[in-house]
Amino acid sequence: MERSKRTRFSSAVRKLECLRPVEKAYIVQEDLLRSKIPARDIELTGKNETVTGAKFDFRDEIIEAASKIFRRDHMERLRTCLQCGKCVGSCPSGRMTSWRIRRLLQEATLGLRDNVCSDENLWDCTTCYTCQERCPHGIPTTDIVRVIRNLAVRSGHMKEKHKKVCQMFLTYGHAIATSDEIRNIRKRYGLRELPPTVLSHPEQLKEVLYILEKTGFKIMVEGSGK
Amino acid sequence: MNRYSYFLGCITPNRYPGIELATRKVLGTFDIEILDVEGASCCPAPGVFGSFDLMTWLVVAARNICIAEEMNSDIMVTCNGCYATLHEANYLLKQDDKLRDDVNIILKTVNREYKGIVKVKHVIEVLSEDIGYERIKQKLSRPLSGVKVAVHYGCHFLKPSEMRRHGSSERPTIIDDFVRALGAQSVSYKDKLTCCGAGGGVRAGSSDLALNYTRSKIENIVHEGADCVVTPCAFCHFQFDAGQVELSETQGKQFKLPVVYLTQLLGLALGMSSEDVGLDGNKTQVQSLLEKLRVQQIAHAVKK
Repeated sequence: MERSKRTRFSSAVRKLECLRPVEKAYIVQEDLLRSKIPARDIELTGKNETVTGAKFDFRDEIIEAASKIFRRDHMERLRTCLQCGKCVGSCPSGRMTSWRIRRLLQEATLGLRDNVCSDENLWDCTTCYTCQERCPHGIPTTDIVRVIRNLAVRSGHMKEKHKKVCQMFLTYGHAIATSDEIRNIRKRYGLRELPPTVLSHPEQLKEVLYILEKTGFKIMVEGSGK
Repeated sequence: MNRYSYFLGCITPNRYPGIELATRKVLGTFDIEILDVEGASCCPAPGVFGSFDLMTWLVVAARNICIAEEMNSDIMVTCNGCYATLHEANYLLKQDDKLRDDVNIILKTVNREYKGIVKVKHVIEVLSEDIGYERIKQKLSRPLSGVKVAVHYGCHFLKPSEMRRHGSSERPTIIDDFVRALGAQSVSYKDKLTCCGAGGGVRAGSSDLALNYTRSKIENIVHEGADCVVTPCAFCHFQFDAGQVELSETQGKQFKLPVVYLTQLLGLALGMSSEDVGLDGNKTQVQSLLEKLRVQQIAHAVKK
């Protein structure tokens, strides 16, 4: 890209240092729309910090990743978010933490990939689906949270505590292990001491672990995390 | 005679075997045959493993469904998390041929194939559709009259409603109707449809936040004078029951709210003892509820 244009964007952003990254990104994006420059070619670098890690095709990346599992036409609805706020007003975690589902959708749209993926609040969503139920545009917001978390994990953001749950899964094929106490209770109830799951079938456990290796889950868990 | 593959998941067999016990006993009295899903694993948890890698989540879920397919019987679950995963995986794989092929390529390496020939049902659906509340009413030997029950629906049984198709997720009635069929009163309380706090990896990742949800729910339930909370989900059950111990340890909040699973409540109404339905495995006391049942029963006998 020519130098003059790059300078113009960085200076426009620099003037607005007091703003949050998301607000800066808004202004820059409006500039981009007016100038009709392909978004992905823009290099956002200022003398001081400007918009860090902005990636204007992040929304496309989310929709692509989501469409591998979910219906593409549902996921494309992400493009129709009007920031009406019905989601955030319905969110129970939003009452108790600084997690804001509306801001996530806004930042995702604006391409603030690093902000979104490294935000600890992303993990405050209990996936209760209330926002998804109520979104007037039918945006599958909760599923999008799960997809963005997938991308965050692949970018190396996984809590230690979550890694431990994964290790349980990679060891026992269950998210929770049994214990002597539980085995005794089961026996007293007249149930099989070990439930009829992979816990009583080592060869089937091997099968599950093989799948976890085959899908790349094992490597992903071992390679990610802070 | 109806038969189901009982998919246990993780929490039911490894933390609350009482739920498993009650479910097997209660369904047995209504001639529902229960088969074991030998070699099943974690479902895997929708908001935990689904948040880490959706493809892995889907393939392991499909493998679990495959086992039931090989047994040629529909799946029944007692956990909303298992329900969410298996129901959603079944739904996604039935509607998308390309996705099914992708999943089957991996399953082929372990000599399995997802076919899409079984249904996934929650135990409340078995109770309401296969057995029917009218038939349940006729069999009650100890109706729970005078007992005030707070119904907790949990999230993933109802939502996303587009997929679950249990009617409105804002005004559900299926469990309230069940509680009333048992002769008890279903009390309304503030934020009745709010999450227990455990889902989405929050219990594992930020237990304080999960407990704040739970505290708020329990306070609202206690405020209405309920004798117990009834849950349709082993994970919510865990969060309410173990959560009360954790709330006392971390926040100094003392609650004594009995936590009862759907089939445990039904077992009590069928005249079973609290040991018969595995309520002795709870961490929080259930004596206050049992005492109330006893008093109501005596009052009932005197009236007669």
